[in-house]
Amino acid sequence: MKRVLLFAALLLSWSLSAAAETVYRGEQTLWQDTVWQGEVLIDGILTVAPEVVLEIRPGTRIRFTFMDSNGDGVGEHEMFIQGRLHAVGTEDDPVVFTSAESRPFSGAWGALNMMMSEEDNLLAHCVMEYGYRGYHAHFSRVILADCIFRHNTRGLQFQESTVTMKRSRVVNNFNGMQFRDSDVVIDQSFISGSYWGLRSLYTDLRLTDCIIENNAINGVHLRDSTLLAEGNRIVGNRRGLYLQRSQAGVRGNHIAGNSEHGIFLEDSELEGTHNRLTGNGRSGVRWLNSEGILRANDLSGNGTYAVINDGHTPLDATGNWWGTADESLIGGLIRDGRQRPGLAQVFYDEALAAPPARLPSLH
Amino acid sequence: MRFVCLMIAAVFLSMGSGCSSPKPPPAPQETEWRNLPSSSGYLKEDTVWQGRVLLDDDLIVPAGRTLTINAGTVIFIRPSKSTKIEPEWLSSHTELQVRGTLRVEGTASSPVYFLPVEEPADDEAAWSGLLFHRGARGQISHAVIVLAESGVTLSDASPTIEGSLFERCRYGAVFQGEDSRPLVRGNRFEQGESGLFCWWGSRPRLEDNIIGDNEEEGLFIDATSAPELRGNRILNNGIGVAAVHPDFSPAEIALEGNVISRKVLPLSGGHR
Repeated sequence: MKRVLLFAALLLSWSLSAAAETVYRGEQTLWQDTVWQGEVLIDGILTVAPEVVLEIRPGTRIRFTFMDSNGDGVGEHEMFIQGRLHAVGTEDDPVVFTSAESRPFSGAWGALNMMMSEEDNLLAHCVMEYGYRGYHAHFSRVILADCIFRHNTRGLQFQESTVTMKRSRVVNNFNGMQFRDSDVVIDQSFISGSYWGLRSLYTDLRLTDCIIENNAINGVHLRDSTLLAEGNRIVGNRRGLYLQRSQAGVRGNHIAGNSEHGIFLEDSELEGTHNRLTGNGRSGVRWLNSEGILRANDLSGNGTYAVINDGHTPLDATGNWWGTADESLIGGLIRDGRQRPGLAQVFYDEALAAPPARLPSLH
Repeated sequence: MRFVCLMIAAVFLSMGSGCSSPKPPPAPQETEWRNLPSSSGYLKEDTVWQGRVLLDDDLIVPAGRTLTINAGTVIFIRPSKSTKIEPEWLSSHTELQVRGTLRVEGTASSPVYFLPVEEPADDEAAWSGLLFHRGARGQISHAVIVLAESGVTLSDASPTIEGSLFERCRYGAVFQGEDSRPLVRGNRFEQGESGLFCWWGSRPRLEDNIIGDNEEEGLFIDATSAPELRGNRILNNGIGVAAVHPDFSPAEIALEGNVISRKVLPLSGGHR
């Protein structure tokens, strides 16, 4: 019995590779299920083969060396997951993907690439930092929970994938996240400190209870996409929510303090209700050749204008709060075909006498 | 090609008046821009441009490298037709992004021209303009920049901008961030959607500029920004100055011919 226990203990310690740093050099492939715990160094390109499971346990730190073969300053060492990834840390002991450089920088390694990995992948309590694309996927399915993506050239990028991101932070990347041709749910997450916060192309996106702030170009940008946005704070970006050729239900959001426009629509459709659209620099809403309604929103306290209609389709903005119920004053908050012949009008009658009920809280 | 020649001629004709804008040389004749030496991607080493150059696609001047553009250089810009996938780009338009140093060394008699080779449709911008990323350095002297999304965008960067013409750009210039403290002197920002934006705590020194004939705001100053102003003229814009406190002395700003001279912004803050 003692021999059996001893053998089992030896086998366990060998399989965990816990004692010393595990090193992969050059191009290597994992052909069988593998467990990582402790320190892992990737000095090359590592592939997890199809149908192979890589499990990464709490506290594991995966470091990538820097190698730049073409002089563009971007590190090329990275991982490709073609099998399945189960990387689950804890709040105190996250799984960390990072650079091996003593003075790391964004783009010091490539990405955690997931290719044709359509089994359920899970990354929980993971940190990805100093990559070129922190997390990158094609034709894959993943849940990202309680993760941090920081100091990457882009925090996340994926296409033709199904992604659910919950309670995660995408902070201080050059660009935050971009995806296309995907089904995406983002809930209770924080996207801040990038040029582009979130950019979506040809995607169905559900965005709920997130904070998206201080992004220097756009907070949220969708092109040729559909969006359901509820309960978000989109504040302090250059543009808040920018929709091009997209359809959006935007309900109960706090879209405030963005330097240009709170919402900017081009050739899009919007149902915008019960939003707090205040304190945006150039306008609360800029409407360009779009369809839909704005109803029961707070449009008070915006900068140059509350609403701009720069296109040839009218905007039904009846039943909103403008900071006043005096229609002559409200007219001064709107720029449309009344000042610019040839452009369509904004209809703003039935103005509310007070902020509507059921607005999002300020905090 | 006709568009390029027309553009150059129009720019030359428009430069005959104003503060210290450069006097143009004779207009270049027909140029086979497709056969010009082209540049895109990452600038691999310190580089000097002169003569005629084609900006064929996006270009980054990385940190630690310098791109110098000699007086009289004409940079032809091919507009981009697609959205970029790579993470390092900031615009869906063709862009010149500076993380290192850009020295545009035009002179009054021999400016540097940035000219798109095709007319964009539907009032679209033809290219992004010059984008200075945090900590980038340099100067823009006697440049002519047309049809850009934003003639120049400074995100926490402070290159000197002087004697230049920004024409038919959507925005003339954007100063964004507390470390945007450039000297901006003797330029003209004309015929765009808007002129200058001061955002996110920027503090540019704006001296002797003309901001004119823009559809919307000539000068926009958010609640956190505080430009130093002297001798600027804001003429014939939709709104002369949009600011939380838009009252400036005549020595700081002369306002003439704007549809709305001043607009008080009811903004308490914004970016934090």
